Amino acid sequence: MKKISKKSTAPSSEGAVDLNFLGRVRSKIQDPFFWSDWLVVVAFVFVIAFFGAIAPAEFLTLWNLNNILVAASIPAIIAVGQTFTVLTAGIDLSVSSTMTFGAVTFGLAFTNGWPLWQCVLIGTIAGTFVGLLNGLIIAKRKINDFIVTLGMLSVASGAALVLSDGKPRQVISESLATLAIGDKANIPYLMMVAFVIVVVAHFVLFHTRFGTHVFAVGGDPESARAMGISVVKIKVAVYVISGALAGFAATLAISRIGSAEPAANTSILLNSVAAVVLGGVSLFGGRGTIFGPFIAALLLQSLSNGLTVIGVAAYYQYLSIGLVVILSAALVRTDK
Amino acid sequence: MTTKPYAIECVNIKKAFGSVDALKGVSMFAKPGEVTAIIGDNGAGKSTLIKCISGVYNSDEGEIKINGEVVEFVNPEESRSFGIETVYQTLSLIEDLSIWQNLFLNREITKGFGPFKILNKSKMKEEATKMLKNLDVYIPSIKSRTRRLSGGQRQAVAICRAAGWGSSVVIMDEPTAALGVRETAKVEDLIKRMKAQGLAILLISHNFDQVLRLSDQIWVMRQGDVMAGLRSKDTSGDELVALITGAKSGKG
Amino acid sequence: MKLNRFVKVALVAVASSSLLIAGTTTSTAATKKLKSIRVAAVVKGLDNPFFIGIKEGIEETALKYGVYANVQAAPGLNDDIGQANKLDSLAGQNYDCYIVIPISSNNLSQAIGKITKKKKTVINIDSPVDAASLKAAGGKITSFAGTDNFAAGKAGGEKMVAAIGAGKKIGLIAGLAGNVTSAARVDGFKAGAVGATFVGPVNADWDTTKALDAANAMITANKDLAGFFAANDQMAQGVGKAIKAAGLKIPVYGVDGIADALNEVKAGSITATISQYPYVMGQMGVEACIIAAQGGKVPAQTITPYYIIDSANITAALTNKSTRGYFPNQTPPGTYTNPYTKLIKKN
Repeated sequence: MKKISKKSTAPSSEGAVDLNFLGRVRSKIQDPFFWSDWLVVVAFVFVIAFFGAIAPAEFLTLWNLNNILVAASIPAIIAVGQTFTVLTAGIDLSVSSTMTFGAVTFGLAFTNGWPLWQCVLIGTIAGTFVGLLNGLIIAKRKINDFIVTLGMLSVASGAALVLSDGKPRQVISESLATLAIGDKANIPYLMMVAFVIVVVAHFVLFHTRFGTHVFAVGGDPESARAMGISVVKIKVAVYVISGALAGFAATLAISRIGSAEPAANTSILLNSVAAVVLGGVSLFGGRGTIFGPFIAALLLQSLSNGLTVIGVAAYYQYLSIGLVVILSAALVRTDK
Repeated sequence: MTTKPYAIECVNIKKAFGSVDALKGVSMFAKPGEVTAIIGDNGAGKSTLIKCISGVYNSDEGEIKINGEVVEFVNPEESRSFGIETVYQTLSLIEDLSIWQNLFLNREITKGFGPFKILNKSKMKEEATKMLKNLDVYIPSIKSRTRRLSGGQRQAVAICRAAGWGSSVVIMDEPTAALGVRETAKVEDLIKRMKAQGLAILLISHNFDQVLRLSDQIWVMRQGDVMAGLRSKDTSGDELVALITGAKSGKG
Repeated sequence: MKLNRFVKVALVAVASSSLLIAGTTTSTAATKKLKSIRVAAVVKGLDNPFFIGIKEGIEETALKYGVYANVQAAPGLNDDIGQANKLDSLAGQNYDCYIVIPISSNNLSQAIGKITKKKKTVINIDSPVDAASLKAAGGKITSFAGTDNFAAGKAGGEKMVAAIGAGKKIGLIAGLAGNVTSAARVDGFKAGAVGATFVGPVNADWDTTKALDAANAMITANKDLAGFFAANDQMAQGVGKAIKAAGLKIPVYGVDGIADALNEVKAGSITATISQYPYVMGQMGVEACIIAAQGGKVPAQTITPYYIIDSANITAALTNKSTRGYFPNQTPPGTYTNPYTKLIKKN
């Protein structure tokens, strides 16, 4: 009996046990999932090589690569949060104004003379609170994530304007300035912070029960529920993560621009969604990585930096960055 | 035999949805180490009965006994804690998770403690291999995504998951409905092996040949009521059809 | 044409990289040939004609003197960090001078600090960089050329009161909440309109449609409104439509002097626009850069002119065009002399 089943259940191409190395490579390359995971790396290498060839003396300098790492740090953190919501087949459109809300609370605390670490904490808590509201409304009231977070985009930016009375708060701090422009071994501090968050997020997603359940809820919420996973809890948690990271990223933003600005920066949102899609996370949920969106954030900033460095006019930059996003998304989606 | 308690017994279960009486006092039982089939036309109340047993619905009246003891549960989680597992026709595996992840979904093995519990992947893979081997299910690699499996392989994994958790009753709702002839045969073999290991299996099926082939006990339902309880070896397809359509009355 | 430019840029990049290898790294203590001067500019988002006017001023002035200019804009509205990234990317390149218009008063300070460390010149036009944050970042600005928005608003207030008489009610439409430029213009107008009472200001986010809605609401609530002031022309256009729809004949003033607004002044749907001269600002930026590169002394601060354009002088304003003509009212009427021009050595 056993023998017969062995013979007939194993489809010939998947007899993984005794495939040689070359065969494995070939089956990997033919797997569309492999490409959705690795396309971003290929594109990143291509972009670096392209600008490196055109303007080696400008693009491939330590100074400039440092710039790219600095520029990518905040988008990378926001993209990590966005990855969690998208993995559950949701989306957080409120990230940009959540970050602004976090920045404004940070600014208020700072002008009131709170110590820096408390300002960072209050900004993060403010973001977490926005995320919690998003999550509770989406998961408990079962209202479409798109609508809820779109509404929250407006609510949080309104709250930021009300709290700040529409005025920017200057934040001049020695430690924040060091954070913003310092580096160790040519790696900017900002990127180190971002990278720690990326590694922790990767760990949570792939090495904890919670991470597995995020994939399960995103892949098939009904089956996940049938196995006793609380879809509500997971959904709330991913929006909390997204909000908390946006609130925390406010600290980095303040360190870079030296003030808590009350007006929301919508590029943050577009960048995070673009990075998640480029990074191979399925918008239908249930599939993706953390390193993909991270590389994608680097890719997008390299592109923007490279186009500026070689002097492409501003109008053409919008065009080319948008095209790259759509093109890569199209390439990744061929499997659906 | 008579002293050994039934794995599961339902006594006078009633369930109404508004003015519609879906179950009008159903009594039946299933013995360990046997396949117990429930058959009946569409709307006869099979699914409602199954859902009362698996905790999806709460019955209005009557009681459910497991191994002779009266139990009460209000949701599938609690039903599962009494050793009742269900293999659904559609809801089963998460396609983008690997086979071992699906086998351990929401029962992941972790190491470490407190908030720093991390997944013990090697242990789970090891155990997953054992779970499949235990029921002689052959899958090329437990690491591959479930998406890559055939329908029969998926059903086999889902059944292994149901059987592999120290459960005493496994409910299967049309386990071979979507499968081809060869895969159906494999799943049937699998059911026989589970039976040999002493599990009580509740089988819902429209396929009389399959029911007669696999089952030891058959309950025939019609219009929310049990029409007859028969030993499979004492009946025939014609008799079953007659009972289902009401051409023959099983009672009195 | 743009492709040609791209190729040219690539060539320049290659050429300049070979220069770098040859050893000319830092710039310019001594007089530089005009042709070898390289200017980079980072302006605000190009979704506002005003900044396109500045961009035109920079590019055409560069062309006129034969210097190279690369004009970049913030990647999006309100993208303060993105704008800082742009300036950072340019700061590493071999430009002699950087022209900046910060989105907020602080966001470019750190990037400017990095440029100052490289001993390059920074010229600030239009919106000022905050002095305290600049100091904290170790940045230095060689020259600032911008408008006095308060004075522009004030002139408008004085003119309107002169036209409608004292003691009347005037509706105020402001830009984005918390925006410094908007606040200065509105406050200036209130200071100039002595004896008037005010409704608002209502924030219409620099947007024509929002201004139309806001003006409608204000007209409905206040039948006795005698005039409107909007903090920019795009909003004044919206107010003009609301006034027309309500069948009223009351004046509306805008600020900036963009092409559409000038046309509407001619058509009569906007009464006047307090015209500022973005083209001149761009021009001054490039000229200040050239003076610095030539080792000359650059004026530390220049207030660019404003001029009220109404039915009396609209025809002259419309014919006074830049080469590309996006901003028709290129330079102020009369005998305005730009203080930078005469300091440039022709070589």
